[in-house]
Amino acid sequence: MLKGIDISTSALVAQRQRMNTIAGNIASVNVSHDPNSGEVPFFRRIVTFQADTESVSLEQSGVGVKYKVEIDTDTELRKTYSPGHPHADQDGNVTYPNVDVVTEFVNALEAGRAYEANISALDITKEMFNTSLRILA
Amino acid sequence: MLEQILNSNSLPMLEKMAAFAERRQDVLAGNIANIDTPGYKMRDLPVNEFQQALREAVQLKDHLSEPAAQRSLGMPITLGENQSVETQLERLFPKSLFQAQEASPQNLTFQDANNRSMESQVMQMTKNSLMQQFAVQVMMSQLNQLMTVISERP
Repeated sequence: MLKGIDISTSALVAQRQRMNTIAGNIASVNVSHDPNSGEVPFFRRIVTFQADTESVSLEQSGVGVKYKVEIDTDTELRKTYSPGHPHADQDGNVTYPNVDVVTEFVNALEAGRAYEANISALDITKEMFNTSLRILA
Repeated sequence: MLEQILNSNSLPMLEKMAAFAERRQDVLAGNIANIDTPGYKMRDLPVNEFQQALREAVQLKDHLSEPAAQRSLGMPITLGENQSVETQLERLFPKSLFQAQEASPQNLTFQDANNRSMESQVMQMTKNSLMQQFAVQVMMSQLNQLMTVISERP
């Protein structure tokens, strides 16, 4: 019973991390310079989910969720022609991160909804737990 | 003595019902937790098999209660004739009823090989929660009945 709370919590943590990552992506959408390497400023981060089958055997009970933050280097970087820009290359192009704001917003919406769904599941679990406790009363 | 009284009504079955519902809640919570996991398939406990087992238990209890009531009033009715209640329940509700398995694919499978359906999961969860509440409420009223008898006051 209390495991249900842990399972829902694992998903809450994962979705929140996804939201944080998306926020980071959107925040860095116009970054054009990295003081350390001086070249590619920022690559889009993606949070990937995986069923947490290691801590529990599948037959036993519900399965939580695990996440991993990965870097997307496959999507092409955005290049904008603006010759006067201090970070422009020889051809006058400025390189921006491979972040697409629309995609990020759609993902953010999905993460928010999934978070809400898990909160609802948590509420039902709590309600059931309280019902069980009433036997004692 | 007390054990026999406690096992004479439907308390053991209600207990199984509540335990099943609580176990299923974990599984359904896991499904919602993995709503965005690629490749995850929705899981569930064998609900129909459990209902079937419950039906058999009720029938067995009804069947046993008839001759026992005729035998003598002092004889408490139990689920089994010779076996203990635990072994009877163990036979009627095997452990496999409490093990999650991949649910039969009723829903659309998405491109990431996940057959998510938030609506059906939440609906199952609500029904499940109501079933658990029902079991606990009936259990409580039966226990209250016993309390009334013990205290000899209405």
